[in-house]
Amino acid sequence: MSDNSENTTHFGYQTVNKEEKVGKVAEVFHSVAAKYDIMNDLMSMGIHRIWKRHTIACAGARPGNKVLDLAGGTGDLTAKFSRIVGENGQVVLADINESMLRVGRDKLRDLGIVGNVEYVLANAEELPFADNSFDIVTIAFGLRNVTDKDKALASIYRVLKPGGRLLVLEFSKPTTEGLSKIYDWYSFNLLPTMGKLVTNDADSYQYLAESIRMHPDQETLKSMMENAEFEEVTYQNLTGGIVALHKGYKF
Amino acid sequence: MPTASLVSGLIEHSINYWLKTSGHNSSAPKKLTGKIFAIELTDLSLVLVMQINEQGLLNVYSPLEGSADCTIKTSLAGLQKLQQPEQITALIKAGEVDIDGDVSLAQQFSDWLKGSLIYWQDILASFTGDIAAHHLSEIAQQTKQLASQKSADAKRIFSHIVWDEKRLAPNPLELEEFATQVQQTRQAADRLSAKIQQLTQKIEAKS
Ligand SMILES: C[S@@+](CC[C@H](N)C(=O)[O-])C[C@H]1O[C@@H](n2cnc3c(N)ncnc32)[C@H](O)[C@@H]1O
Repeated sequence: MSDNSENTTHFGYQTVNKEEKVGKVAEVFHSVAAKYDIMNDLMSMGIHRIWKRHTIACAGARPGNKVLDLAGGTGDLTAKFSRIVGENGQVVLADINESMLRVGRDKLRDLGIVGNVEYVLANAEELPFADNSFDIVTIAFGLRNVTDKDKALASIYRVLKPGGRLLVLEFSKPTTEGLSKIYDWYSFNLLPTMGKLVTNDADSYQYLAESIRMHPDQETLKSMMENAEFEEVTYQNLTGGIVALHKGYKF
Repeated sequence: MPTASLVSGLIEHSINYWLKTSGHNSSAPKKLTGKIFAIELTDLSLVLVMQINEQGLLNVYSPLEGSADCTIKTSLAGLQKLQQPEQITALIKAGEVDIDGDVSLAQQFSDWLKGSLIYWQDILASFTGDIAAHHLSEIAQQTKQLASQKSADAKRIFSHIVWDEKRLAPNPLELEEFATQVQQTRQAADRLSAKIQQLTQKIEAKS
């Protein structure tokens, strides 16, 4: 029994073997990479852009900073950070998925963003960076896909410089019953349908809806961050708690 | 909160669109690159954080995290009044404006931003030009009147910007003064030529 639970994890609502999850998550993002940005806009009616903007503002990046955009996917945050930190700063876009990285790299190149951005294929659980290397780490809509979240948080803590901060932008738990119901209907009925229409891949978006529901709520994530030794951990609900922004420091 | 992020996003998009189409971004002062300016509008409870990036475009964010190189705290009305730099001291004394940090940076920043307005001339000129062309075509009198009304409005707006904001063109009073002077000069010249003619006639009569 205990043996069993150690080696299994959630893939949406299914319980799967841990190794299997890594493979399945990869499958999901491989299959949606090309149309990922379009879906993002459709799914959130563009609101994801505002959530991301807010995250950038709260990151407080300054020229010369070194920033890690973890699970950065198609690079929305990287693009903005790149313009803030300037030529003396650096942004590392890290993702476990090659297809997402490739789409990201092409997109940023088209935007004219070159020079201070580096692309790294990496697993959040075992970051291939030296201790104390980043002023800021962000992980936007990525943590819920990570198999071992505690391991990922510890790994992030390690690569942060003392005084550095982590920002986690992630779907969370709507704060009111009504919103919660509407949101459930939206994500379990409308979302997979839209996913099917745009990417011809309803399963991936079914997974998305389920993974959102399985993700730790605001308070749980907060204590997970504290367990990983982050300090002054706070969170802010955005759009009625559909999304929450958690922040924590390494001192 | 997200509303502020929406507002800052809209501002960023429109300013950058303007800076790009006018090409003014290429003249961004190097000294200002990366500097952070925060404008806190007390009546809207809104903070706008602005930064000129290396492309000469603006990053606009909200809220402010950490410190800024220059923070200006004022109301919308106060911001309007700040357009006249000579008022700054008075406004600070009256408590309408609070400035923290390097004021000269903020001044340069606003000068550069306002400098882009110079390109309005071209755009407005093409606009009034269109309406003039409109005049020439065969259309009903009413439409004509409307068009000329619009043209007058546009010209008024145009001249307002050109002489009031930038003082590129003389304002109407200056123009009137100039006209009077021209008139006087012409009268003087007329008198002079009359006098010369008189004298010439006298000389001719004597000889
Ligand atoms: C929903 S996307 C978010 C992309 C981007 N941050 C955004 O907000 O648009 C999630 C990303 O997390 C990546 N990901 C999943 N598991 C990961 C892991 N263990 N380490 C690093 N990245 C991971 C996926 O490949 C995918 O690109």
